[in-house]
Amino acid sequence: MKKTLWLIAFASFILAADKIAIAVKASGDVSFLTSGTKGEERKLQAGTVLFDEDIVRTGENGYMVALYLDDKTTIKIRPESEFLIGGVRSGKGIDKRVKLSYGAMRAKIAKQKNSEFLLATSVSVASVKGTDLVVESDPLLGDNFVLIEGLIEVTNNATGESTMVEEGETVNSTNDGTLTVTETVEEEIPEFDDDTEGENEEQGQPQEIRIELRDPSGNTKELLIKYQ
Amino acid sequence: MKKTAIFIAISFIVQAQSIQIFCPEPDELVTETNVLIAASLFGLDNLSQEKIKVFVDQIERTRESIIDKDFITYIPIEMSPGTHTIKIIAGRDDGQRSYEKEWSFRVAGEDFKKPVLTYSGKITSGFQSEKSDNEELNMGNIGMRFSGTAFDWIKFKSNVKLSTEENPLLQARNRYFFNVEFGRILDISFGDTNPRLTRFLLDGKRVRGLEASLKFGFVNIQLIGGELNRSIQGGRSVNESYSISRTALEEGVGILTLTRKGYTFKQNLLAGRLSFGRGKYGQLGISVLKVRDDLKSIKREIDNASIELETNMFDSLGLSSGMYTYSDLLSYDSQNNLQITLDENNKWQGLAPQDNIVLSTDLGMYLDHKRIVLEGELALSLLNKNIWDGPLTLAELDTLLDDTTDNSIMDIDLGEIPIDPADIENIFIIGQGISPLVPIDINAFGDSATVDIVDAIFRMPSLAMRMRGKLNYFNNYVTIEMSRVGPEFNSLGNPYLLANNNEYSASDRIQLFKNRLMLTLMYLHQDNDILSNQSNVTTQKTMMTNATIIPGPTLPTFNISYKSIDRDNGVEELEEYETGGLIYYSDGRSRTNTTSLMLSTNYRFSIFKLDHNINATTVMLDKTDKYSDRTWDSTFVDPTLQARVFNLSVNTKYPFHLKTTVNVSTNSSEFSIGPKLALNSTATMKMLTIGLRGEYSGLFKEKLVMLGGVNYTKSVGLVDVTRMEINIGARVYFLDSVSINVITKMRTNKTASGTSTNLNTFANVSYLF
Repeated sequence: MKKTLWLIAFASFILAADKIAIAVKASGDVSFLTSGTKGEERKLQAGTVLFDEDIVRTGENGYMVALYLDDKTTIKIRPESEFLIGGVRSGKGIDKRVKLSYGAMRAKIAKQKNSEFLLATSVSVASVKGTDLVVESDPLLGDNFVLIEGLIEVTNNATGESTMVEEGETVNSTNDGTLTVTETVEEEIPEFDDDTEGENEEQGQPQEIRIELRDPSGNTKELLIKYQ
Repeated sequence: MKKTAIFIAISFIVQAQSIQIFCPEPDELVTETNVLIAASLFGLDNLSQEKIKVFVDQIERTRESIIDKDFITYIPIEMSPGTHTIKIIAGRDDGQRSYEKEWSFRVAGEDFKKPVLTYSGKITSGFQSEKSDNEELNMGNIGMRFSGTAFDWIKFKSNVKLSTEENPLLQARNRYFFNVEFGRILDISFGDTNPRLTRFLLDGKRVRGLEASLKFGFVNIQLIGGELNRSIQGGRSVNESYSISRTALEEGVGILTLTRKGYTFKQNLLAGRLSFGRGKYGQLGISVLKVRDDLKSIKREIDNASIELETNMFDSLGLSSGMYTYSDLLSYDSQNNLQITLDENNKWQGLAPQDNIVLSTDLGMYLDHKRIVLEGELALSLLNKNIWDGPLTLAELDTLLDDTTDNSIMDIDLGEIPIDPADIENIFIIGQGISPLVPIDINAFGDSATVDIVDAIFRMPSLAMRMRGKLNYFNNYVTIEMSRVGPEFNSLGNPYLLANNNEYSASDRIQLFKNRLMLTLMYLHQDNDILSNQSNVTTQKTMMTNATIIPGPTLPTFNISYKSIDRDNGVEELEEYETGGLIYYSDGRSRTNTTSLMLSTNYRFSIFKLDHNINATTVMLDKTDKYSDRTWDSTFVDPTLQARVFNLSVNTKYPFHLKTTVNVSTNSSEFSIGPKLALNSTATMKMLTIGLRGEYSGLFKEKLVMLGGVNYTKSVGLVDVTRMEINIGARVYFLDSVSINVITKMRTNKTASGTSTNLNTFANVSYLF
């Protein structure tokens, strides 16, 4: 196992420019393409270092979690997904950008001080400062951005129309240019393998309760209560 | 304030200059024995890579670890159940104190078991009261969501919402939903669902019933059964359920005939899709949808329905004009020479019951990880708009189809026709109301065919088809699409489909400079040139370009969008007609061009600990008439329109639990309100809106949030209106799981006709378990 890790790390070192993230969890069918190489897809394992422009693909049962090196911004990828992880070192941080070609991801993004987190799909683009969100992208149907915490602005590439999305809201951005903001239906948020509450309870870590609130204009917000 | 600032600054430095634990987290319970230990050294000053040491349970593991100047990883061969400690020491070049981090985590043993049943839920309730000068409206609702898993492979969720607006005279306002998934194979939902089969058949319309999906991998089945509409017997108001269709006095006998109306049939749906392929590389689907109105769902007699008799014709017979219930009126039947009857149902004034069947096939191919997508769908519908009389006989068909009673249909003897419409009435009722009667142009058949058969097929009025191709290469996302929906294509499962419409479109979305510049080019052509005998083809051509620019961190984003729409109704010539020896002209031509330019920018920045988000948008819209020879027409209303919109909003987050939003927008427009040659043929409207909203959450340890805002709108021009709106409210959180939200809004409208005041109150309670 260790030898494999060394080989992956060494090959990555000589082929790419910036190390930006590390995979801390990988299960099932997960592979990656290192930027600059052509065609050779390699199995991704926990401990694999990811570089600017690496492309990660998960198969039918694949799941992976990667953390950016500078601020622990977390990316979780669901099965049947492809995403590009990108970032450029800038001072004490990394200007991050990811592109979700298809599938679903969850990003817990640490507050970006003088850097940014740019999230693109084939349909939309979002500039994010610090938030927790789930993104589902289907090249045929469009995107769903589910805001669990924070505030983002989503722009539909087809029309340039943009909208602010708050906690507890979901924005649907489609190929034909429509942007629709609706109240998030919690049961419809895609699950990520290690999101189970039972495990947190076992760990004695803070528990979370999210309460959805709605203002008279129909805007909804989510209250996050953490308790031990 | 100063202390807070210093604390934040110190925290930042300490945070930036420490080893960051990646995994396992402190005190985390790890279920696998194969553990990855990882930490980040990113941004640590003067780090000496040679002076980094890793200890696991006090045993040095530096040599087995992968150590880089940015990170450390270590994978032990296997870790025993129990608590383990990790310590990382990272020495510095400058002789300063080393960076250190120590933490522990637990590895679960083999006896670790996940709980058999996990669940969570939420109960919410809301109340809304609206009071204006003339009326008062109160509404309430209560909802419950519940979801969970059992045995790790059964997932269930439910959602129930009960509303005070539920009323048997309206479609359902309450919602019931329960879903259970058995692994990846079976998924069953009961209650109100919004199933999707294909774009043309069923695409999100609510169905109350059952939906089941069976996924075997290569072969998949989706079944849906239930009702699209529930039956509604009529209305509460006078003459909403019945009206009087005939009154007469014949030989001293008063005849009063009633007809039913105002009802909605219960509409039953049965649909299914059989598909082949997992959907990863492609899928072929065959779907069918069957919708029929339930004739028995509407009662002939509603005793308490109100009917107004306006005539005095029957005064002499003891029945005066006035208000009656249905049963009151019936009590006059056969008395005093009065005959009161109800029309046969096939003569009812209300909607006729319908029968609809739609068949569809769809194919999708997804290549190179969906970078190439090809898909298409072909659907054919049959709609019988009136099934009161049931199926036709073969003899009736003979008359209907070829206008002659010769015991043959299109030269086929009736006796040789294997299917009688009555034999298939459970599938589809072939009757007088069928549309189209013959789905294809019969001139395409036979030796003397005058229409090309392929053309006849693709121009069938009840055919719908679409094709789409997508390519996603070199940061270009190219889409080419066509769809055609015939004028007689009807799917009661998707009544929102635009019929009699041809569409062709091509677009390219280009992502440049690592997604910092997004360009979109799009062209769309729409027309109604479907039937071969279509005259005056209406066309609409839309061109759109858009650029989104995201220059980089700390810089504003920009968006520029330009759209041009040309619309032509196909009428080229003036219509000439003669009245009283004079020749008149009628101008039915319509050809317009509409352009719109939108510029917007969004800038997020922090200054003096205040986080700001500024958004500015301006829209310029111009619509012009493309004909210049209309000056003679004194009745012509110029479609020209000019509008200018500007909006500026500033969101600010203060470091002391306060958030504010300031919004200013202006809207000015100029448009026609009458014939061009008339005086005052154009009007203007100018509107100014100023709003301020605030939210303060610093009370009672953030358990009480105060909300407030004020909105002022003034519009002058065609209509002068001044509106002032003040809202105030609060959110309270307690017991860690309950929240209460109350907001009151008062709005005053001042117009030339007077001043009105509206008071709205919203309240909701939420409990999470």
